[in-house]
Amino acid sequence: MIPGDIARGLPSGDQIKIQGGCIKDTDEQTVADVVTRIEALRLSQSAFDWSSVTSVDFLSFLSRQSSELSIVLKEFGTILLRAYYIDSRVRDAVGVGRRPPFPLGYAMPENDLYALEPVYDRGLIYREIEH
Amino acid sequence: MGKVGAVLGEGFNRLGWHWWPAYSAIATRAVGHRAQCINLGPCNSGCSQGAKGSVDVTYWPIALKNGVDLRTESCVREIVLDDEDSVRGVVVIRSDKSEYFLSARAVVLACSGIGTPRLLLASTSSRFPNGLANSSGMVGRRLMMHPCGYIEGLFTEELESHLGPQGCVISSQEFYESDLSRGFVRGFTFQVLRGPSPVEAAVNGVLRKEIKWGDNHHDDFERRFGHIASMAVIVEDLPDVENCVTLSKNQVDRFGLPGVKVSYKLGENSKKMMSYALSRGRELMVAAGAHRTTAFGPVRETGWHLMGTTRMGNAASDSVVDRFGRCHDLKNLYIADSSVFVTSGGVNPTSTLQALALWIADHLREDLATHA
Repeated sequence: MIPGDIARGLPSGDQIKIQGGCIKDTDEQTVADVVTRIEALRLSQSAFDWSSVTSVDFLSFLSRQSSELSIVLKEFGTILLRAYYIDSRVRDAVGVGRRPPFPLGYAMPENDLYALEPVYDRGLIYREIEH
Repeated sequence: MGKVGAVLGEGFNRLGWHWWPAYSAIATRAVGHRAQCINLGPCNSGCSQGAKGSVDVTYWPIALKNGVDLRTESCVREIVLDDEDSVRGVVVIRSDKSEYFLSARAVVLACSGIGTPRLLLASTSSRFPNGLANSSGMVGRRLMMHPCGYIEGLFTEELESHLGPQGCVISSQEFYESDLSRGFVRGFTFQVLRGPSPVEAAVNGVLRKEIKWGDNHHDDFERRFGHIASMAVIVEDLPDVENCVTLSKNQVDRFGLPGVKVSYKLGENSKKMMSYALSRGRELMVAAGAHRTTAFGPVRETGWHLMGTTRMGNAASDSVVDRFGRCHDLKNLYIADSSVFVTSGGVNPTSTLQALALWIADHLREDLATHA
């Protein structure tokens, strides 16, 4: 579902280990639920050649089975994305680093406060208090 | 403001609209228990630098140093009356369900717009059969919630929008005052936010089908991450006596105390204001150079500013506390939270709330000294 990209230094989704800390107790039930449903679906349509279907097509197929399954799959997708985008290799590749850049942090450009001239020119935005 | 602030500021200028760098009390150097902000961004999931101004690093260390006794895993079950016009303490319940009485010269409630009326409504007696301090019938009434809208612009240029403190790039009060030609009274604030973290950008992008699974996933992500400018709309919610907090007859919390039922209906004025604000927000994003905009509201998961349910006022007949936060009905029971708000304003309430809390604390100190 998430392919690797060597040029960007990104691992594929199946190279990511879902860390214990990134999965909540409720997520475990979602994952188990999805696996059970997929297995039941596979058994019910055993004549179909699943090996010819890409994972993305398979996901699309599953989502069309029922609105309930579609909702569960969205939760499942969120878990996978969370696991992928907190992975150290992915964080490095997208430019945020595996840990915050202590102690200096990120530099921010100086504000160009001359951009506020039009705001000054239009006058007060608020009402004066009447005493 | 960063790059994203500069770009959106230019957009405001093109439209001739008011804007200003947001005041958000960011620590530009270490102060007290707070570290200096080093622009790590997104702050919503906590600050690993310890620079975020949450109460665990602002007020609590000082309060503890000054002798405040913090009791965790405990909950006040009931406020206990002394005589006709005062209270003498509270009944505390621990997580193991054991209870004890804690006497007090004065009791200050600070449980916000739902917790405070809940405790008052649960503290009944022959004198206050409808809840403590509720002779006006206003306890729990006029709940206001700040309907929140969200506008997002996708830009071709890199905005580095994920860097810097969250929630405080620019604010605009161009549409804050009433203008009846718009079809509603009162107004709203635009609050320019930082962009999302990688996880949030990916999850939101996939849910909205703007980032696809499969071959194009990384291209889609790269077009969004750091290229999103987002803006919140904070709508001034009007006080409506029918929007209220009452005790639940069916639900209890882990201490066995009654839960609450929140009855809230978005008013027509707020609906019109939200619709108008979302249109103006899209206009701003386009003026700033966004090639794609998204706007929606009220956002279902928001409504976290809970106000108005023990309103402040001079008349005991239609308000719960006086101008010093003291209950009209009881001379030593105070309320120092957002439930005393009379109107909601179209801005985040924390600064007003803190100012009120300090004002009420000053008066409480004088009151205790006078009646020592």
